[in-house]
Amino acid sequence: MTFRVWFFTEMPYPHLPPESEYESVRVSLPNRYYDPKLGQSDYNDYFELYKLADAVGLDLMLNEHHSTPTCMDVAAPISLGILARETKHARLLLLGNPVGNRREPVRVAEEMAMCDVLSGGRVEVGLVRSVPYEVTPQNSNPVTLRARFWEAVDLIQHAWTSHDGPFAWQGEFFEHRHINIWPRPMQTPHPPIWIASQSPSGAREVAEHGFKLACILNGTQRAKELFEIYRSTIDAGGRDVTSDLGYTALVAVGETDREGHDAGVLLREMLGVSKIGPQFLDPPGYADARQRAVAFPGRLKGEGLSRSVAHMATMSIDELIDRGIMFAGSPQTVVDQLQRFYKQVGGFGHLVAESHAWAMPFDIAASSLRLLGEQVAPRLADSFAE
Amino acid sequence: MSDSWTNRLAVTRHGDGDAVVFLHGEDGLLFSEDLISRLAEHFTVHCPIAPGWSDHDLDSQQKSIGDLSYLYLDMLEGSFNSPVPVIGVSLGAWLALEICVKRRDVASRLGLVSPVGVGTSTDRSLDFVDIYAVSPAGVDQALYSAHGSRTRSDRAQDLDQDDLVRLARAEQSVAYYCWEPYFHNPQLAGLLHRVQLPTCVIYGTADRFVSDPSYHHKIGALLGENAQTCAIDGGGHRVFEESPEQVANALLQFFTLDASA
Repeated sequence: MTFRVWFFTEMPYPHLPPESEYESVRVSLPNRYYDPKLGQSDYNDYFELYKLADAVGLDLMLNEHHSTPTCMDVAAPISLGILARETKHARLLLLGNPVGNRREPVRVAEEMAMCDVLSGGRVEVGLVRSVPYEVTPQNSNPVTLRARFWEAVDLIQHAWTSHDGPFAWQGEFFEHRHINIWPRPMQTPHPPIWIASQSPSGAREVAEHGFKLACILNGTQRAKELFEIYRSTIDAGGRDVTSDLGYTALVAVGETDREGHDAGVLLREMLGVSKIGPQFLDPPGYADARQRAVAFPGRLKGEGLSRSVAHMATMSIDELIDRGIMFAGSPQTVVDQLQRFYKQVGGFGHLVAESHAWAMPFDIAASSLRLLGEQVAPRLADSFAE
Repeated sequence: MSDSWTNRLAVTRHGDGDAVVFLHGEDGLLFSEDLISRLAEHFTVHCPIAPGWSDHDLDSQQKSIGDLSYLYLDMLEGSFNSPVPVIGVSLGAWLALEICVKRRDVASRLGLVSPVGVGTSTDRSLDFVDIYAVSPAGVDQALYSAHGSRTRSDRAQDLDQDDLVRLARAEQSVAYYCWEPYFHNPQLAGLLHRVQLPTCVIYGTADRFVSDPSYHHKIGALLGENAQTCAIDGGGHRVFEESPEQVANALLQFFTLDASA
């Protein structure tokens, strides 16, 4: 197995007024707070970071969110197309296409196929259901989201793997009389598929479908639990599935432990950007009714709900490291931390390193990911080669 | 009649006397007990509870309130030998209209309390406050009058866990049917002329869920000459919770007048 390390930034727009001046950083924040000139400069920085990551041997991960300054990559297939041309070697993972919300899965199949060809077969495709606070801006019925998501996944796979002319599709949510995508993907039968999941039932579902599983900022215990569920569920015919498991963490590498620690402090800021209107966090039907009912009295009073990572914002850097949410320090320290984490979770194949977040200055992010690519990733690859 | 509805509609009955059918609103029978009790002093009140609001799960074969109305048509045809008065509150009033544009002979008269479901907006704005985009306090503000009513948020504090699950399932069911198109059937306005039944549209003058203060009168006009409106002064959209006695009296008066006509 080749252990792979991916660089990731959400492409944030951190130039916001004090939190007290707005109700929610998601969904309803007016875009009058957005300065396109600053935004253009930010985009340039982010694509430079991705190019640098490619140059130092890292793979690249993109994501997509909507109606929020936490992520300006609102049309990630466009970014993927740019990176397909601007990079040479990196694998390119879009994790993910929010296909529970997108109304044209066939279009998603086309976009990913085009980028796969453009990149010479370097694309990996993440498919995600979406976070709860995006069903409102996408006008996506939360009650049927899960079923719609899985039908979209089936449809996309079918579009990628049908090569004998048009086929029709009459599903519960999508109907087409004539599907015949051009181009088809370069990779056969299609690019690797990733699905992000944070719950035991979700991890089981991903394994049942035989896709790769990505966990995000879960911490050691939860990641171990989800990976174990995946391993025990998937029917891999005896194949080692370690390379099908990915984990996303905050990763800050400095020349010294002090420098890495200080960069970690900058990454931690993103965990605190979590002010979200309660109406957006818990749309009816997104979670099971029994689960929702537990928090109902408080929720109806507008209390007690926060983004799942918000509580991490007040943790010390050492605590975040202990919990496997962040890896920070000198190159050797980060290697040591990740070796420990690797053993604790029973092994995994991909580290998605969020090494730029929120208002972290370009130079610090660039330095961190250069060390990550040149000094950390090769040692991890050697260490986890067996 | 067939099992098509008996296996999917849970029906509770209250009181004694001539039959009326009560079609529940967004929260099912929760919070409508006072109105049902007052009606039950005069009638046998039949309360069919839709899948999703009862122990029965939502049925993927029914994707709209219009679809759901066929289940209720089966129930009305199978349960009663002659047309019965039908009362609907909010979402239930929408359901009553969907039933009666399809068949004119299952209901004898309609009592529509704070109806929704009819699109009347002419400027592409929503007909109703977007409950999925405002805070819980904002939802209460839209649904209740400003007279210090005990809102669903207040009353939820006293519910036991089973009722909280019922309320969560009810919210899920409302989202299933009302997310898009938002709380209305775009075709329904053009079909209301088919109802042709004595109908009373009862509404609160402080209904802040509707975007257009003349919404209820517009529905009355679309229903035609058999329809009348009855305003409850100061009532909010949930006037059937806030002022059950006044709503019950308005319904009784309408039914009595109609019966003696």
